Amino acid sequence: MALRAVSPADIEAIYRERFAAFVLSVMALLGNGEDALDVVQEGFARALRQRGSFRAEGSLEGWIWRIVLNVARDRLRDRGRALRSVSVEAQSESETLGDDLRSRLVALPERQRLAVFLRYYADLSYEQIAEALGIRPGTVAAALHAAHEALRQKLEGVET
Amino acid sequence: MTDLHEALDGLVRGAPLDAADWNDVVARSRRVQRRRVPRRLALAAALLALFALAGTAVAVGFGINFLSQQEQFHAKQPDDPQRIGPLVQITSGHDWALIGWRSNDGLCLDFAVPHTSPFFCGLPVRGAGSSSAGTGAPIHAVDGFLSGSNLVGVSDGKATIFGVAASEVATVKVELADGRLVDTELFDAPPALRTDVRLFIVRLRLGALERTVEGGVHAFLAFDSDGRLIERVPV
Repeated sequence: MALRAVSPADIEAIYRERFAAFVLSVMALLGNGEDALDVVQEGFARALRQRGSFRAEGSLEGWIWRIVLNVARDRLRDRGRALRSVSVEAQSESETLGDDLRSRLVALPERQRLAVFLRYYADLSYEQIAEALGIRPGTVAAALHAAHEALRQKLEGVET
Repeated sequence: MTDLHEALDGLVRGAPLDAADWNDVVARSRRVQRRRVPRRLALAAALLALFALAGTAVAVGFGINFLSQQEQFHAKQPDDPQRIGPLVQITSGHDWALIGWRSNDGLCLDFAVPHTSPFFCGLPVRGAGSSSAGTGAPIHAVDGFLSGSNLVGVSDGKATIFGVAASEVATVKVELADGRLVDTELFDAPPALRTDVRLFIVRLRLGALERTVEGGVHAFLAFDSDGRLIERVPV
């Protein structure tokens, strides 16, 4: 198969088509819309700058997801994981099931949380999530199962 | 799972979904990247600085060490543009070096200092664009006479501005945010870079207040050999 260099237009097309999916997924991760927008813009800028290093071993969109999520992780590190402490605080004060579930969502281990977010907001398949996170599809299935189990306990506790 | 869907929707309430701005992405892609040098390299650089402070003669010059530093630095970053030529030192001081290299994303420039190492590639300057490897259409429809960085490397009390100018450019000046117009040093690209562009750099000693100011460059000005302004590039 002949490899074709990635052009700015290829990246722009993904940006225009999938902007909402990127912003929603990153906002869920960071807990802030302004930061999410900045991360998505920066991630795509990095993809544009580094497009020469794309090796076509997976999809272009999967490669961009990896870059954007790396920028988001850097942002979380810069913030000293403030998101986690906010979530714990919110959990202790929350009265409603919705608030509590949100707290539990953001308190999930990172891989489980990202798998849930990419599945729900970006409508990615298990294979695409695996590509975006750099893990095997089977690991995605396990992460999603574990996340649902953790959340189901809370839901059942309320419903019964 | 309606409750779960509601919880997920609640996490992204008010998301800026109408804020897509491709032009902003393109503009960001032109900016200089700052990156931390791995701790081991930073430690090595700090040790070298200690030797220098103690008056110990260090046989190996800083420039050579920075070439080695940058070699390792880029080798560990698989997402960096792919290097297709040697790292070439353009100029240096006792604790910094300006290094150029050809990549599959055009000419790249590293401002190598201990601890941080800003670099950029694929500047929109005629003669410095996509190389023979080719990576598709250029980002910018028209390449200009010059392009450069904003203030970088301010930790040592000096700010550095560096960039690329086309071969027709005889002088590059930088217009600072405070109104000052400063001259830069301009160098022909060394033969190993296989390009006829010129590289410029200026290091400025700033006051305590200015040291904290981001975005200190207002514009770059290119002059021809007759002293005529041929391009002003606002930042």
